[in-house]
Amino acid sequence: MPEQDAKDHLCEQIDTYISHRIVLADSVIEEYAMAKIQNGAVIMTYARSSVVERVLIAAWTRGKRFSVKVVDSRPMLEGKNMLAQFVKVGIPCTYLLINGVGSVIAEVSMVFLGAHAINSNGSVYSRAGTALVAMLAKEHSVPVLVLSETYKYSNNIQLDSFTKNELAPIPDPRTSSRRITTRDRLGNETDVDDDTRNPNLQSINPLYDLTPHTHITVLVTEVGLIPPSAISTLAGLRDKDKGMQLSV
Amino acid sequence: MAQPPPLLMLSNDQTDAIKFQKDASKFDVISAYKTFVNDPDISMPVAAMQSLSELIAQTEIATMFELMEAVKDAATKLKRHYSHNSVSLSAGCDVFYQFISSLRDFGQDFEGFKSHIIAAVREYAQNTKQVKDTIADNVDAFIKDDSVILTHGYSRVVVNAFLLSHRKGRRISVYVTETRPRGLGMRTHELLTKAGIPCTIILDSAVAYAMDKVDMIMVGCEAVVESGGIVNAVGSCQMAMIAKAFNKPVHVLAESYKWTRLFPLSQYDLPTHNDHILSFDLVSTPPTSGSNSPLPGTPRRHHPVLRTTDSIPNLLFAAQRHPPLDTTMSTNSMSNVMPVGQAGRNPEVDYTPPEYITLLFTDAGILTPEGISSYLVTMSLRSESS
Repeated sequence: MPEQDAKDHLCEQIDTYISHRIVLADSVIEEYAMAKIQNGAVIMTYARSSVVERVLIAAWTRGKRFSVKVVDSRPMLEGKNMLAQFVKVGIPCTYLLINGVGSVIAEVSMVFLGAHAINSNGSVYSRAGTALVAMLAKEHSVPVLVLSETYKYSNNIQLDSFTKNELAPIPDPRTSSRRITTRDRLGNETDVDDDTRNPNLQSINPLYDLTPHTHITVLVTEVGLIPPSAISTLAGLRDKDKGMQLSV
Repeated sequence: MAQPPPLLMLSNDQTDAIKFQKDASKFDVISAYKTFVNDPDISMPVAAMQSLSELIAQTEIATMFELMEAVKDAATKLKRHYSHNSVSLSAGCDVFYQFISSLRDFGQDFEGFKSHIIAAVREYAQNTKQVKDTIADNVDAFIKDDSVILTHGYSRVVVNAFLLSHRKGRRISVYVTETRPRGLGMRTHELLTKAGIPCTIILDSAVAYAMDKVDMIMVGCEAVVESGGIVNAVGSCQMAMIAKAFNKPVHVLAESYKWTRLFPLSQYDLPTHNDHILSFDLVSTPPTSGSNSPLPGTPRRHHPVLRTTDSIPNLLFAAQRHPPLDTTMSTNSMSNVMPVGQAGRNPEVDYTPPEYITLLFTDAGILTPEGISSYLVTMSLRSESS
């Protein structure tokens, strides 16, 4: 095959993949997830997920009336972005940090979470803090819905959050716009994130954590609502049908 | 005009009833359904399939698209009419719809297509007994001699399984719950006692009391849902939870046409649930904003809807599929311990999550709840891609 043809073919495949398994998939997920939202529901979200944001905004636009509790955590504070989008559309929201989840969970009807990857045993690899929220929800019998396209499925099996993770750099105190400081007894201000002062202190900022499948009620994908235990059936069928071996 | 479409072969009186509805445009799927469902051997989903098949038999529609639409409309009508207990009926309709969607190789031969469907459903209805026997054979291996089994309500599959084991010479005794409010447990008791199986009716509230004397739970179901859980007569969930606490296995017997792609997140996510169930009476006025939507941000999770009047008709005593059998006992025990207005606020079915179920016995084999989910997901993915 001439090189240019090969390149065109590859680009076409990529475009089809994006269109089917991301863009269209998101619309289908929207429909499935919206059907689970009832008027008067109190929905909890964590950090920022584009799918969750889409679903809730679409549901509100279509006339469903509910409220959202946006849970956020330092240092990324991604939830603020999602909060801004919700408020713009008019959804009544409550904003809280993750340490407040235990106090409000009793009022929540369901939890919507996003995912970075879905493992073959049904556990979900997502933004650090997700596992906490899911676990608390499960303890209080609140259904946990993970919204994710099937392309995030991975044949991996991961048993804990340590073996595979990413550490984000601690924000540089001299360049970041927002400084959180503490004061010691002598009145000296210290940056909380500044670890150059104390050689015995090492800050760790893991980006992801693993939510075991037992804490998840259902995975909402474009092929339907799937219980976490059955997620591995996706692997064989998808690859065989589409012939696109783009699994991780 | 082609020859008149073949009618389903039924018993004589039923054939007359159907012939009466010759005019396809006046075909009433609900009265057809009522006719089919009167047969004691036919369960709700099969009756639904038969009535949809009858619609096809009597219709003069000649295009595939219009036919599918007509089937969809009829199914919706049925589901809406029986909305308080529609899960198994929905499952039957969905199976039928998937079946006709999967038939592709008829091309222009529309009449042949219709005949094929009608013949297939007829055979299906006749084979329901065989399906129950297949399941009973699988179950028999799990029943030890001198077993004490606890069951709930009335399930043809379960009774069939007990009778089969009994005929094979196994000694079993059965506890069956009353299963209020319809008293379905009485029917089970009647059938088992007639066959010589020792059977005792226990109060719905005596399940925990009796659990230590029981070796296993065996129940049927209205539907198996995608999570691997089941929808069955109300009381099944608490029976399963108590069994789990006592470490007793819970076995569910389910024919494959009862499997549905529903995924309830909780009891209140069932299609049979509505705002009237478990609602409270209040003297104050109901919220003014629209239908049932309270103000957003209402603190309580599953807050009860406030109603001032009891205008919902009493659903439970309306469409009786099983009229009271043993007159004296049932009228005395079932009648009006609860005021009629209160009775309407109670559910007819509940959802048992998969964690309380040990095994499901189906005509497709013996599966764990996780296995059923995998099977359902695979089936639906396959039908999507084909």
